Amino acid sequence: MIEIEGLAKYYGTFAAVTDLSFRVEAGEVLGLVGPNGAGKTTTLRCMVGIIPPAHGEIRICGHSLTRDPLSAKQNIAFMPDEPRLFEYLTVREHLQFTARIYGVHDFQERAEALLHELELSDKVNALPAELSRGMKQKLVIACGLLHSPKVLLFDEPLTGLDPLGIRRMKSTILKRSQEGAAIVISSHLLHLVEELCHRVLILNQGRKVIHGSLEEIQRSLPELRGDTSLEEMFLRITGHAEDGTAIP
Amino acid sequence: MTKIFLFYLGCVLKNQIFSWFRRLKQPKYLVSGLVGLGYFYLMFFRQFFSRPRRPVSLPAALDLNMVPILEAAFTMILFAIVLLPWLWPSRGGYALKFTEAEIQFFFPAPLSRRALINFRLAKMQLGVLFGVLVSFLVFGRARYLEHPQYSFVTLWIIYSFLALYYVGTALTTTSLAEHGTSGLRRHVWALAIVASLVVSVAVWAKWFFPSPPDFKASGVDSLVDWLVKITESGPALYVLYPFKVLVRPAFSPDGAAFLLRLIPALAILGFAYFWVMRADVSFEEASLERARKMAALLEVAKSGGWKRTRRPTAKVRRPMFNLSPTGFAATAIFWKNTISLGRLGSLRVLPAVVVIAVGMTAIFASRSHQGNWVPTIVGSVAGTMAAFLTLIGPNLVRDDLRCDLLQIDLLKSYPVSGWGVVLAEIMAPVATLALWQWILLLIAILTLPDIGKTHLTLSLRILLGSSAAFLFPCFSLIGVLIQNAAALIMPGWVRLGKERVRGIEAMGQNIITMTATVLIMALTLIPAGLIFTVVFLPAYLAGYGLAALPVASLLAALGLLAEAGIAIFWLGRLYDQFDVSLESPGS
Repeated sequence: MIEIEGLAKYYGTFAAVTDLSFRVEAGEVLGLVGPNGAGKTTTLRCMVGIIPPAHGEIRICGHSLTRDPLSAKQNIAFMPDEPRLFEYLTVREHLQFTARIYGVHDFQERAEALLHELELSDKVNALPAELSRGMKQKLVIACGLLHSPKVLLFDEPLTGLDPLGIRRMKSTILKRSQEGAAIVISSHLLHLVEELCHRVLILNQGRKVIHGSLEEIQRSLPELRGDTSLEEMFLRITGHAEDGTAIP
Repeated sequence: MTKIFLFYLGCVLKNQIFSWFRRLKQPKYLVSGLVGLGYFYLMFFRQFFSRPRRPVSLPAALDLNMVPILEAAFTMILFAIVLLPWLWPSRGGYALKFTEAEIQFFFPAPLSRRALINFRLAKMQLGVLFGVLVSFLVFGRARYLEHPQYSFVTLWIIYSFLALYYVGTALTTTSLAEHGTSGLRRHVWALAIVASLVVSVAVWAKWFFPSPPDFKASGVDSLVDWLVKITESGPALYVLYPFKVLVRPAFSPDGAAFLLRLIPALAILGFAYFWVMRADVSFEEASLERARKMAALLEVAKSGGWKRTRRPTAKVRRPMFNLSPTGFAATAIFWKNTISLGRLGSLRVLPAVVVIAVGMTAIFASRSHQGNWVPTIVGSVAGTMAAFLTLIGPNLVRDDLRCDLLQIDLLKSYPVSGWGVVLAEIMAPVATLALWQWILLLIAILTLPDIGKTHLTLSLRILLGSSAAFLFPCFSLIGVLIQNAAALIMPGWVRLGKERVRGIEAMGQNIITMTATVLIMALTLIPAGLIFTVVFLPAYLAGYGLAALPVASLLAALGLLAEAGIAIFWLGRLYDQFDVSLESPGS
């Protein structure tokens, strides 16, 4: 579903991402974690075609994002950390707009189901200015899921959601995974990653530090002595002691 | 406290300049910057480095003293500008604007409101000085003036006065809106002044306005006398006096007169400053859309929910057409932008402009003592507005890439080709402008009976109108494309978003943008002009007369469309290659 080979992105002379390669299969959820500035958002933005990579190849459902971007993008949904909406379109019009962009034939049925699932049914005629941040986030997710994408990219998906929203969001992600979508979640909430993701990719300073399931990562770090929490693994891998101080 | 503000302002200025120079690392900005500097050197600065020339005063060509007429003209213009915010209120549009960071750091800090306003006014001076410099270079060509330094100082006084005046007006009007009757009482003096100005002008125009002389018979001198008489007679003398005081230093014959005229001008500036400071009681309420937004956001953050006190930013109206879920994907972008146009109304100003234009035309036409002047007024206003929209429309209607580049993350994630995005983006403003142009031209064709002494037959009006109907939308298309190209190529130098930056601070940038647009547009129109000439001239000489006009215009319009098509494909490729990461301030 997702194939990344030798991805690199530079901002001037600064290497945001260097030589990054990984795959995400259908039905798999990958957790993309790393400290601030590790290159997580840059990776996601390259994967969706927002910024062009300096080097490397990105293939979505077999389509090269460089050579056949429209086919590749047809299969992706990207949910950024900050909900980006058009201030003058209502909730329903956002869905209508997205439906036309992706050519969703049965837009009405899908839209109704999503509005119900994400509890936006009574807000269909509201403008974004009338929505709370959590609701805006839900609308972005509704727009993203409308065309039943095979690849879902989430950047901090739980930001701004209330406890019920968080639970529903988790079940939404799991449901899409069970339906066969390849999902990448970038988040600092390690318990979320632990809970939802089949595999974890830890980035640090733009480079892949480790990639695998929690068990595989644990096996590769014998110094953890059985502590299986992702938080501990993360701190160890990114060079921090148990109390959070940097390991010299 | 002053030191903190000065430190902050110094950092802002320094970092803005550094950021500007950092952009020059990119070849496109470097080339454009060099071209712009070269143009400015050739047009404005060359004179400072070339052989000294004898100062040439403007009246030389006309062999007559133009100073009174220039004084009168600038006085009237200033008077009109001062009336504008009252005739055309803009809620918060002219007010003191703080950045979000300034609000976050300064508002909760132990700073008096007076200090905050003083700080913002000081920051405003950066924009004022830039505006003065650009205006001076573009309009106040030093070599035409005997004392350019007087003009520079006068421009600074006028711009500073206008900047203060806009802020004072915004504070007053917003306070009136917020407080109703109590606000009305508090600012009754300001309203009384404006009302008396308006009434005086109206009464004067109706009963004391002297008829213009027949200057064809009596010469230009009589016209000058007439204009001077207008500004120096009746209530106009008192109404216009403050504005004349502001304008006069520029036309001083010598240093002593300049200093003498400077005193009352500075006094008026001081009065404007006092007015703004006096209005600081309503500062929080009148502070700015941004402050209001910030407060609302903070409220949401505190409560963890949404309070329904905030006004929606746009009124929900029905879309112009229903969008089916399948078909050419880019149509969705066109549909979205038509909704934006309808709800956020870039052309909301148009009816107001029409009313003002009709009113002014009516006043002048009423002096012509001709019986049936209403169709003339309506027709000429409609025709003028159509031409006005052609020239200014692409700058007014911005519901295209100029707005959507702020949502580039979203746009770039869509499976839509670059040329499709560009085409769909520009279509909403172009279609809207074309619709308005055709309506106005139709009104002009149907109503205009005559212009001056030249009788326009219906057939002639149809010939001229249909030619304009072919060409005007194409001119707008080219104008919109140039604006979009600039946004796409140099987003760092183009104002993005819908919010209109008003006032003196934005003027300098607008003048530069307009100059560049006009120059590029002139180049773009050359091929169409050639087509028009090649078709029209032989036909005209062969005896077809003006009948060849629509055909020549149509072919020229097709030429423009072909150019636009090429430009759309080229811009589409640029869009596909657009790297948002290169446009960040730090890059």
